[in-house]
Amino acid sequence: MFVSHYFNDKGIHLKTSLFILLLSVFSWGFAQADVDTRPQVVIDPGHGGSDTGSKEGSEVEKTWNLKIAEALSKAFEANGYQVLMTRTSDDDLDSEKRINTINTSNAKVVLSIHADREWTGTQTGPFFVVEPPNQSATADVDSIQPLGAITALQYHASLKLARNIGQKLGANISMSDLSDSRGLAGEVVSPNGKVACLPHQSLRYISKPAVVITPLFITSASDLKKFGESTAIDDFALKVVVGVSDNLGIVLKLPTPTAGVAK
Amino acid sequence: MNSKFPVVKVTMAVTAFFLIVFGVFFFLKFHGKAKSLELAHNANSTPLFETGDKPMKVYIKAVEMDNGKLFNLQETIYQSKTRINQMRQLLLVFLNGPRTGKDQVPVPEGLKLNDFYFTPQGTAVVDISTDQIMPGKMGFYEEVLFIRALIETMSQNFFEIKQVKVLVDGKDAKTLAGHYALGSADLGAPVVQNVNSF
Repeated sequence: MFVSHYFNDKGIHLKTSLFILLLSVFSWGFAQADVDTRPQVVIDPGHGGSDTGSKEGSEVEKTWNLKIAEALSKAFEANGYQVLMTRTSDDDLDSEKRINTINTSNAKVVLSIHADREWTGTQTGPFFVVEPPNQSATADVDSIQPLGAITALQYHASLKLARNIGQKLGANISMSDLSDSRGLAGEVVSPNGKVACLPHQSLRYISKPAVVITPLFITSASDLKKFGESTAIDDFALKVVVGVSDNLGIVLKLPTPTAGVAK
Repeated sequence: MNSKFPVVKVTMAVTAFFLIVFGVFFFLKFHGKAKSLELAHNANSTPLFETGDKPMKVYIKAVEMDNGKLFNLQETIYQSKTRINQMRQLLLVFLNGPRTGKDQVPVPEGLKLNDFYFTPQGTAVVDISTDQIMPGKMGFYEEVLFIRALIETMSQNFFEIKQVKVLVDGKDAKTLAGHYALGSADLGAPVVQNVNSF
């Protein structure tokens, strides 16, 4: 009597355990179905709202930043990426909120978009900026305190990202001679290089591989003409997607260009 | 005797006239110049230089307008009693440098100097005001050019300067005009050049 009762109880326990196990497996399966497994990219259009960024005549930085960020977002989503935009309209963006949004995301890369200005009118985009590493990451150990804000590892990841994108955009990806002396010793600089290692407010507190992309200078007549063409922004965005994908080792299934269709 | 009197009188009048003209001329030429180099916060300090101080060649960083690159532009300051006053002169020559023509300083219109200090550790502290710069008239690239030119100008003329630190209205600021990160409270930009030169 006692033994049969025990087995009966055990049978009930076994059935209950099996039921809970199956329920867990199904729940996990359903939960997995809701998780977006696409690689995530943060696109950060600089400035916004009352903060216009730089201006030249009727050209306003914040407007260009948003326009290009929207094209990038479209291009990334069309190629299998999940996109997180720090702003999607002309609104003020609190800097702490912006940093938290970026740092708590699952983003593989962060692209901060900043059109720029330069009064001589000689500078043209694209131009790339990566944050310098902190002094402890550099070869020079002296009394100068840490000046950059990121580790050597993050610096190299960001530099690689900038160079991958720059290559696709046909830019000279060697280090610009404007680069800060806080960059790692041994980096070869070029007077025509388009990648600079400089402390940028948009990169300062970001804990992920991040790069500031300057697609154009609003003081450059040639840049404004180039980006005034109907397909220029989409073409630019697609090349950035290809550069980021190369950086992440993701193979894109791009449509084969046909005659009459822009590459 | 009487006939000589008008001649003496006329000679004295002419001499007095020329003395007044020369006096006014020298006052405007030298006193005016010295005043333009006066720092607002240093009204009670020693003059930056005095009449009779020997001229001294210095090089400031300016931008070639046809290629946007920094280069050395020769200027003159005066050997004053202290090195710090020489540094102050150099800083003012840089900030008030040419803004028209083929060579221009990368200093935005409206940027003002509040004060200048030099610490025993070799840090040149440059306290500026940016609220008179027209909004939107300074992009990241221009901020970089200004900072680089300032550091290079100060360090290449005075070996004592090991770092340059920029304050905005006497305080640490996150950026100069919204882009270039000036660094945290205790940091200055080092002038040690390990990867780049202009």
